[in-house]
Amino acid sequence: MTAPLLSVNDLKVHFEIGRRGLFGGARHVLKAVDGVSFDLRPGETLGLVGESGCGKSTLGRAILRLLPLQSGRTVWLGRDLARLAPREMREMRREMQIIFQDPLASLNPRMTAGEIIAEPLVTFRPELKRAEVKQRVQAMMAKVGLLPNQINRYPHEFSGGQCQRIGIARAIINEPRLIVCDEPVSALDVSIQAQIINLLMDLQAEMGLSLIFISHNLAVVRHISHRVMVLYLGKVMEIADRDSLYANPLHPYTQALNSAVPVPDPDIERAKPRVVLKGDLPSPLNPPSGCPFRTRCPRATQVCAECMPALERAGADHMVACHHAAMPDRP
Amino acid sequence: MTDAAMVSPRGEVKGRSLWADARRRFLRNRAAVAGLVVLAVVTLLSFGAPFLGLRAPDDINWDMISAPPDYAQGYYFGTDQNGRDLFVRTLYGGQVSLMVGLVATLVSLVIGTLWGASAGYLGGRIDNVMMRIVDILYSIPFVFFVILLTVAIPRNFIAPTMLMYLAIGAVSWLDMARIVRGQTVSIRRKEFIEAAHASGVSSWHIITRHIIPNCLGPVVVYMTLTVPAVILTESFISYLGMGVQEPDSSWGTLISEGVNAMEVAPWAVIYPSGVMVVTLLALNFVGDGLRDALDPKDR
Ligand SMILES: Nc1ncnc2c1ncn2[C@@H]1O[C@H](COP(=O)(O)OP(=O)(O)OP(=O)(O)O)[C@@H](O)[C@H]1O
Ligand code: SF4
Ligand SMILES: [Mg+2]
Repeated sequence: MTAPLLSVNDLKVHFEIGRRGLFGGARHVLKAVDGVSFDLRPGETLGLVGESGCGKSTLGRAILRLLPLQSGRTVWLGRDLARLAPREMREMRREMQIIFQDPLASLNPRMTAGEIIAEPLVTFRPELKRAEVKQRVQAMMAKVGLLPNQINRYPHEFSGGQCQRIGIARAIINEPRLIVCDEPVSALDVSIQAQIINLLMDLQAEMGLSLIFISHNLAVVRHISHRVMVLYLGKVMEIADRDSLYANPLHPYTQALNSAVPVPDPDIERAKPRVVLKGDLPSPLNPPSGCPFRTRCPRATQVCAECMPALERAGADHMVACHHAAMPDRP
Repeated sequence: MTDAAMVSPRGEVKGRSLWADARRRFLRNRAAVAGLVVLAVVTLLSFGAPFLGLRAPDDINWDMISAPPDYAQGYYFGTDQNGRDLFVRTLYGGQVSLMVGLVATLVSLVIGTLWGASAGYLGGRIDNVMMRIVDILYSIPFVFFVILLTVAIPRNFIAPTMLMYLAIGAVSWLDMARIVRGQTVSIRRKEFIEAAHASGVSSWHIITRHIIPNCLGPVVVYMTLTVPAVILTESFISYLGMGVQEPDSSWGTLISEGVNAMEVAPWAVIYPSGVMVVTLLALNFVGDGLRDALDPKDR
């Protein structure tokens, strides 16, 4: 196995909610990400799924050090990012990029498409001549499927899908090794979603990019990912290579998510076991004791309330955190 | 919109920036354009007065003491108690009043926006310290501050007019800093700021390239409100005898002298205050026009 590009170890991001009042009012800690570990290999896509509010975006931003960490390590090619001085960290940002959910909001309305795409380039290569910057920007626009003669247009003159392409061009202009894609297609029309996903996959193949692909759409994640990680209330429930996660989900939560995804074949669709989640997502401010999923889990027992199950190996590339995981050898 | 018309010779499509849109909307607003024209005329006449072949502002005509307007002799606004041409004095006075407006504008544009944007973007303790400094300066009564400056800086070291510019400059950026900080705090959470941060853009460039251009709407509008306020402040300081000194004039000093002689020479107050009112009205129209042109709800 190749050495990981990024190695995340017991990462925690906690937010303090409500500042201490005049009379020392209660302070709550929201554990948005609570002890996440995983490795990301070069050229790999890791899908990140989970319900709204389970900490996907927070995890993605914490990896890029856009948020302060509570504890844990993010090791990039052997270097601990938390140990880097701010200037060294800025230098590192050339290697890792992010694409956002809302394509228009992620572009400065006062800058032209060309200025937006060029910004990371001129930040790291201030010596480049204007003509050369422009030529590279136009090459990048062509690469992501934009007309290069639109270079002087402003974001509000583009459609959502085109804005997302501008965001992608900005992300790849410095040839990074990792892009965190935070629900990059959720805000787009279905027909355009496929185009953007395929563009990302083409770019990945061409540039050897690693992607962390955040989404709550399991079908999309299945299409693009090599491995998939399932989060619930800031904790990893299951992480496995794509085929084994979709064909053989072991965690009750993954099974529930999976059974909600429609399958094109009506026979399989009808025969599929249906696991319906009961209840709502508990408040992240006050998560259940033990396994966070136990309030909604059909298999929950006494032990689940007492201690959090550890993430354990259940296959060649399959880890699951459940006391009663449906192990492949005992059906 | 015809795309073909907007293609430049190199085949690149010209973009319509938000600024260009705002300019188009502004130019369609007749009152605002008229205001702009009036402002331009007043400014040109005031600063061009030395080159118009008029009398000198301290030229005394002993035959025309407190005389009403006399077009035949070229005394369009009449004369004051010293027999000086009020039209000329009003134009020269405009230099001071408009300069005060300009100084306040520049200081609040440069210091106010940078200060407010830095505080809002950097946040935390830096924000706290920076805004407390603003609060402290704000809490000093303005007249007390001017007196303090007058006492602290010897007269032969700096002219009283300069001192007034200094005093007005020192306080005129405070409101702007607060406004820009408020804007910044809301813009800071936008994703394009995070994208810039993730791209390794420095804080300085995030502030100057991303934050300030996106709060210029309220800044420009606030600007047009500041100018009338400081022109009035200048009148006040000069009235207290700390700003413009005889024989120089400003609109403020002309009006206060005119008020004293109102019963015998009403033109001495009517004409200078008329010019000032017209100018302030023009500024207000321009401000209204800018607000409508830059209104984000209209985008
Ligand atoms: N800056 C913050 N301050 C306080 N709480 C926050 C902050 N950012 C996120 N949270 C909280 O952390 C939790 C995780 O949020 P996050 O945005 O990571 O969820 P998500 O999985 O991306 O959800 P979605 O699918 O809606 O984007 C949420 O409960 C959210 O309210
Ligand atoms: S540990 Fe218990 S509650 Fe948690 S998922 Fe497994 S069975 Fe359900
Ligand atoms: Mg999110």
